[in-house]
Amino acid sequence: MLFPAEMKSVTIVTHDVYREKVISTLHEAGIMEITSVQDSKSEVSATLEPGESHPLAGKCAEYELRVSRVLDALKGFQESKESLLKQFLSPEPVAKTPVEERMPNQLFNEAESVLEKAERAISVQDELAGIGEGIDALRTQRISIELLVPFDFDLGYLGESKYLYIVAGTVRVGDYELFIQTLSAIEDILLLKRQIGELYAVVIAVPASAREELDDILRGRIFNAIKIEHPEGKPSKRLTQIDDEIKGLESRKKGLFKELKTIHGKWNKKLLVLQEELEIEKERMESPSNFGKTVNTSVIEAWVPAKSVDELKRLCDDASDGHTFYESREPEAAPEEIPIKYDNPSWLRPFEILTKMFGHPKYDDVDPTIFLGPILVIFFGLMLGDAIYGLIIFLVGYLLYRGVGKLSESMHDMSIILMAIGISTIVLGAIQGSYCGDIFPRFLGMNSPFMLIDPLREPKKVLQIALIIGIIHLNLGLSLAALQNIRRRKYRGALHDQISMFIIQPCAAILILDFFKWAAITPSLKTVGGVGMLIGVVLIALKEGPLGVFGLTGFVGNWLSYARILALALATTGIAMTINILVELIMNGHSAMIVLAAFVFVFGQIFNCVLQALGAFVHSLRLHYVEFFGQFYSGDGKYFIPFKSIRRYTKLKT
Amino acid sequence: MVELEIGLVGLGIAIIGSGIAIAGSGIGQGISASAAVGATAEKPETFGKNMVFAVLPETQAIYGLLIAILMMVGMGVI
Repeated sequence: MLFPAEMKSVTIVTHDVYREKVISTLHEAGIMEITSVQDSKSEVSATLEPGESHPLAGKCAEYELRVSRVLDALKGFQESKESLLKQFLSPEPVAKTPVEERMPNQLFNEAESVLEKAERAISVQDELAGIGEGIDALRTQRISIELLVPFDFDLGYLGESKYLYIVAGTVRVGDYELFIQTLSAIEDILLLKRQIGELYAVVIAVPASAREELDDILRGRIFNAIKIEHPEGKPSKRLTQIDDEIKGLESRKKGLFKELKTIHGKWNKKLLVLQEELEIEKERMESPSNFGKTVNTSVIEAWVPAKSVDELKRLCDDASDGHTFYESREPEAAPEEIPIKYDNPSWLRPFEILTKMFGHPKYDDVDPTIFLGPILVIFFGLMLGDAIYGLIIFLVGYLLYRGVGKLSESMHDMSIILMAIGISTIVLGAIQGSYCGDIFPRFLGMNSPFMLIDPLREPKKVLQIALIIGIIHLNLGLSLAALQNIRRRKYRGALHDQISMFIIQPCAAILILDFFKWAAITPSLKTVGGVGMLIGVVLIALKEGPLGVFGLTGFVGNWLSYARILALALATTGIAMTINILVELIMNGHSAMIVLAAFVFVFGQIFNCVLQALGAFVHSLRLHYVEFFGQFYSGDGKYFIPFKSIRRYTKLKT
Repeated sequence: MVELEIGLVGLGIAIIGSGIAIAGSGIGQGISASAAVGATAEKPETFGKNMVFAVLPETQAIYGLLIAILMMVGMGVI
């Protein structure tokens, strides 16, 4: 709990006859992380040939890719969709399909037969994409042709004929004078114009011999040429044709949507099962590339939690009828190279995500989750500090726990965190006497129940509490740093970095109390304080040099940072109170305004709750990541990634 | 009367001082948080460490608040 789980380094040697069985057994068990024998620094690895992936691994990857492409094409085409709210609050559990271990070729044959029918979805998607582009192009054409409707001429005349060259385009009204001047260079010219809003639609006809001259003049920013594909018939007739074409394409699109829905209904579940089976098979087939090889055996090196060592041995023996050599030993690698597995009780596991967000502990580091979880819950409650907001957060957490939390591990963890911080906020909010701010005294004319301290009236007291919490929290961090140093036998580090701070803090307190005359300090105690301070400073300076003493100001800065607990408590209550004052003002205006007042109250309080909850969470996290972790934690560890089959849609028949 | 005026001036100075500290902190945090958001978009697993850099300038706002409180305590406003 205080440290990550103990790990062992294991070597498994199995005869190749049993290799596939051993791999699949270990893959289903998911208790070890395979490491590459070639990268290993052990003496044995140098004598081994590098292992190779299964010869069918490429084919397996190819089938998996094809299945994934079909699933992508079918995404979003299920017949009936559940609403997002229902998916969150009461999601349907995924019915797992029972499957058996199969030979790769059997799996490929099944994949082939399913893909034969379901791959039609990809061509349907391609056709849909083509139709979408076609409709867009027709709509663009329609806009261009609409500009030419007032001229009522056959669009086939556009372009060059034996005697004439005709072009159409638009010119902005403001540019028209300039445009006419540029055209004056051509002697024989016919120009028709119609104003459409800010634009002139113009049609220009010149003798075919003047084409190049006209094109030169029109090249530029003033004239915007209208280009029409298949220019035939009068504009109004062409518009009708385009509308018909769009209608035809839309109808085809509907038909294709229907076809995709049918394919989805018939094949989607099967494809998901196949994809999962192929993924698992591919992972197994690729795993031997990390093994070492002799003529008839395969050598596997792996990390395994000490608790699972016996189980791993039993699984290997069962899978190979005892034809496996097995050795487990203490890890010899550097702590940052050993993968870590968290070893926390179930109630603490949801908070591991907060440690992971910063970085995993190294193998010999303290796992800070045991401190981070409970203390973050308290900090959050102090900062948000409103009983009704706490109740809202608790209820949201409970709904998630009963709903999507049952299916998703991350949502389950989040729901537990929400419920914990919700309860903490209810209790600490009641102690601070805040229920959506000051609704009890303001609207009900009575004191807030259970109130022990009011941050708005007694900020000094809250500040003192915040700073006391801060110094305890920082010293907890320093103690953990000292513990780590002592475990690593870095006694000098512990003396200069942490013990010096333990000496300096009480001595500095004595000197400060005496300086500001806040307490009567006896001369002998003052001398002890001065000497202690000197010893502490010298201890730091000996290791870090004279500039290291400035680290003390950093420590003071970290300590003062805990004043944010007061700042956030004040902000929540202050804004909630402002909303209540607004509501009171509206209610006092007219009795009919009560509806508006209710709306302002509900909307304002929810807004404040969301905003302040976000702030309280980020600031609680910050006090851990910056101030607390700064004392002892680097988060440079490597996470244990087991060789494990992930089954969301299938379950293996036993 | 004179004491009240001095008190109000002091309160005003405390508010202005706190405001300047908070505004400066806000600007600093804006700069560092935008970089942190960019870095997190590139590498989501570095969120925790990016957040540390993003929130560092925030401490100056807390100092502003503290000094304001200390001034108000010193002047007997609270």
